Amino acid sequence: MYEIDSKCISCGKCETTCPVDAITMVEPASAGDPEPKIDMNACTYCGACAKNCPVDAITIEKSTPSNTWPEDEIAEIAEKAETGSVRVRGTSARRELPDFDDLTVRNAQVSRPPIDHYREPCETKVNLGSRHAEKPLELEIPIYIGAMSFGALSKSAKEALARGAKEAGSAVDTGEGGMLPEEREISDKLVVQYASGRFGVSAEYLQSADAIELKIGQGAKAGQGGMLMGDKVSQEISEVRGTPENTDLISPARHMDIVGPEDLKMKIRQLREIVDWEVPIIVKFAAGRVEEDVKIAAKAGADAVLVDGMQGGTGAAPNPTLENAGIPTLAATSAAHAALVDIGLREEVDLIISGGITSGSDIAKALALGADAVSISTAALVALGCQVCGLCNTGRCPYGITTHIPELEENLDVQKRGHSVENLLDVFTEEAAMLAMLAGKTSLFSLERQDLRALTKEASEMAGVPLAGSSE
Amino acid sequence: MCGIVGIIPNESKKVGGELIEMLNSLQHRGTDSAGVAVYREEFDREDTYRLVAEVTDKPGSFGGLGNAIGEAGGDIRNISFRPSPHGEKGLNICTLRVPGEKELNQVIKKINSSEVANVYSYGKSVQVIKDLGLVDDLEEGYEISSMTGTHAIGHVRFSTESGVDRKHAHPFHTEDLPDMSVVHNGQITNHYKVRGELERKGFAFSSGNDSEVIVYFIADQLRQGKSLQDSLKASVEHLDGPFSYLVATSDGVGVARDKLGLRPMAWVEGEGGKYVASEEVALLDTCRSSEIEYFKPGEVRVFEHAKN
Amino acid sequence: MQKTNRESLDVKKLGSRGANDRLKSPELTAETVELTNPGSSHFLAAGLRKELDLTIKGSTGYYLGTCMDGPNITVEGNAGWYPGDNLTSGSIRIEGSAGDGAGQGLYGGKVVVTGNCGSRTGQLMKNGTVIVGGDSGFMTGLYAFGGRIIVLGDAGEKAGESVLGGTIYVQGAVASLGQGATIKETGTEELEQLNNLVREQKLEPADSFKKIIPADR
Repeated sequence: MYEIDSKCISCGKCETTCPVDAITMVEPASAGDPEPKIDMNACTYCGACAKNCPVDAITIEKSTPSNTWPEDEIAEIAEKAETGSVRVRGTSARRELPDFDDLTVRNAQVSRPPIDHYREPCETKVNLGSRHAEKPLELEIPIYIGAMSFGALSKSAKEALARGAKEAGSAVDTGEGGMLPEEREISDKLVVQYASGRFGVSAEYLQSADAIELKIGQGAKAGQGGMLMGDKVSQEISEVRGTPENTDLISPARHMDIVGPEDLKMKIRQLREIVDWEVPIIVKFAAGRVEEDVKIAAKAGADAVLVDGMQGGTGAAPNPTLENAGIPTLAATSAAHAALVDIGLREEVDLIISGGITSGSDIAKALALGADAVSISTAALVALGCQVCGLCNTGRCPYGITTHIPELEENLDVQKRGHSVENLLDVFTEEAAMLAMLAGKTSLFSLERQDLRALTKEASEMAGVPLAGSSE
Repeated sequence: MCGIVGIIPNESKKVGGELIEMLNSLQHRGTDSAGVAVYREEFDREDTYRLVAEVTDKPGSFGGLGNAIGEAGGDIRNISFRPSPHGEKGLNICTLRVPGEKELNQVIKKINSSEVANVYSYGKSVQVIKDLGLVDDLEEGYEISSMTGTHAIGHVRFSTESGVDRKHAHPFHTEDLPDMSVVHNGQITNHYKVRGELERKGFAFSSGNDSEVIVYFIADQLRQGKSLQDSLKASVEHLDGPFSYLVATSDGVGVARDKLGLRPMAWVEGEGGKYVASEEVALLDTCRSSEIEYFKPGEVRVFEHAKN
Repeated sequence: MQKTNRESLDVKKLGSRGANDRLKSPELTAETVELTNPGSSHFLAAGLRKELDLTIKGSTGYYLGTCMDGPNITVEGNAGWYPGDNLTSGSIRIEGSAGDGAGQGLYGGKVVVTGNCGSRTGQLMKNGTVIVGGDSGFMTGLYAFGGRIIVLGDAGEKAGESVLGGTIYVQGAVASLGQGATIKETGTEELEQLNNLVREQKLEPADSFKKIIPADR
């Protein structure tokens, strides 16, 4: 297929360039100057005619694309050869991956009665981390907004998320950039993250938390640390993080003092001593070796584990890591639940999952597979106006979400977007409740694995759920 | 849909007859199986217990039951064998002597694990008799109306989600606590989850029936030192789904109804005692009072039997 | 409440959690506290936010004074790994040796080890000062974002490995430089400032220091 635009200047360069003599300049049917005609039988789609046209008048499309060398892969390889660097971008994996959409919920009829969503109640409250904490994290809904740092996000974005979470009876998470004072002021429940870079960490930071999230990794960049380039470290960011201005801020790929299981046990105990055993310690993993990691965290004394699947998002990560590291959230959820059952700590340790949750139906299915709560991040950014385009790492987000340029940040209306975030949390909860109730439950937490069926063989094996049509 | 009944008479009497009458009036609610748990008068001797078991096909089983009890440290005093009117295995209604409850539990676990027999009830007073088919078949095969006792519960079954055989019929009894049985109308919609929690605490289930979860849940609560009343309250909070059930112990009968009131339960104080049932029709037939009361959604109550 | 100026806590009796509870309690009004029988316990003075002078009569375990803000601690013995981890303000003086990661993640204040230190002294530190009277081991100043480390003895292999913003001053030999680090000379005024800090800790001032900084500074 090809097209010649009217801007063609009839220079004939394409005719001379074509290596297989497939192009001839011919008089057009109507009056006018000569135009190139391409013999599609001879054409090999090398694209040289289009590349050499001085006015970009030729568009030409491959009719026999290669699955080994598709157009987008060719373009990526060309980019690597040109730039000499690994592509870094924001958001998450773009490839197709098995997820909760591949499961369906078995509805009640007469073998058990459906509960009517329009007038009958459904329990949504959850308490997390009561294993050792004197004050578990009490949430009105089993959803909280995940770790996104001030630095990755703008101040306005952090404020809007805190507002929305508070109104919905949920919690927000500081992320690894330290505590923005406004975030603690506005939010009701605040989870503070303790990550490998130790930015903004102090006794005050930890003691003002409602829960502590010990970050070992995140799903988007499974097994890797991160970097905030020096020229993006503004004065305010460096103040909150406690670092000198304009220094590259590296988060190492691991905590320098957590190299093995016994180190994790000491670290959890250290954090407990700093906060006088009051609040829950949640250990966050990038889902990869889920069974081993979850068992270690449970035995090391964690009150909860947060398992982040490969569909999780980020402000900046290398493309190969986003697309090829970690395992899907669907598989991670079942594996984490099974690991806790296997070591006899399922009732003691709470399971939170995250990574590409896009609806309340995902949440209902995650709870059925064993999660006690979920965390959402990218979806919350969409409520702020995010289009999931991936340019977060450039710092030029036109919606004011992942930028610190004042003119761009002004585009984020904190009041309005705070309300949008509240709406999102409310609707996700309602969707999850609908699925629970149509399955015959009066509580989100009565959902069980046996309420699900899989629609594909992959999802069935990954989630440990029979295919639709089988009995249990 | 199933039907359940309970009788707590003012004094120990021929409770079996009224039980059969009440069950017959609820026969329309289910015809898959019928069963009763009758709490007989306790023996004078401290060390004498009752046991009901079904002998399996394993070679040498019949003599085996007596032997198994002997080998496990018990001393069998009496075995009365009743063949099943429905082609199921017959039931052995036994009396045995063991030094105490600990030894009794050991005997039960040993018998169940030996696969010589399945124990359906054991304790100072309870006898569980259950079989496939109708109430009339149960009466014909086992002469329930001749049984005397301090209290009793009964059930007719319309199977919903699990198998139809004696093992899946109600009443359910635990392998861990003597004299505790349950009859249930409805579904426990989070029973896999609750079963998982209880299995991890060490309880062993014998069927795939969701109703079995109730008796082990209550057993676990009682083990933690809670009263039957508080255990029933906890069950109404923790178990989800439409349900009404009766939990009987050697002291009496506990009643619980789900929070949305989706399964029925009514009772009346008649001249002879207290009568509980899924439907009013069972109460009108047997008592002479028309002051029937209905349990409220989420209500729990314990009726203790008169101690003579 | 009777205002007492000194208090003594027996860590063997109270356990480290009990000792910490007492240290943090509003009922403790003493300005000087002594911890006896520390028995190399971990997490002593964790998260303690008080102006307080604390003397530890013996050796401590891991994470001494982690996330502390305000107290001045003297250890009459050795400290295990990570003493002064994430210190916000205050000081820790160890009159013996310390394990790995002394002054890890330091935000302010001082960590002083009169003896030798293990590996990765001052790793991830953001600000504040670490002074080592003896030698410092492998990868001194790893990932240091800011602040300074003063080593009066020798520094082990890969000194200044991936240093991002901090400065490491070594009087003795530097076994090798880490990646991204370079050595410069210390000027006379700077030397005098550093020696003031050294003298304050009753240590011998230095004749000169090799100054290790990020290669791209």
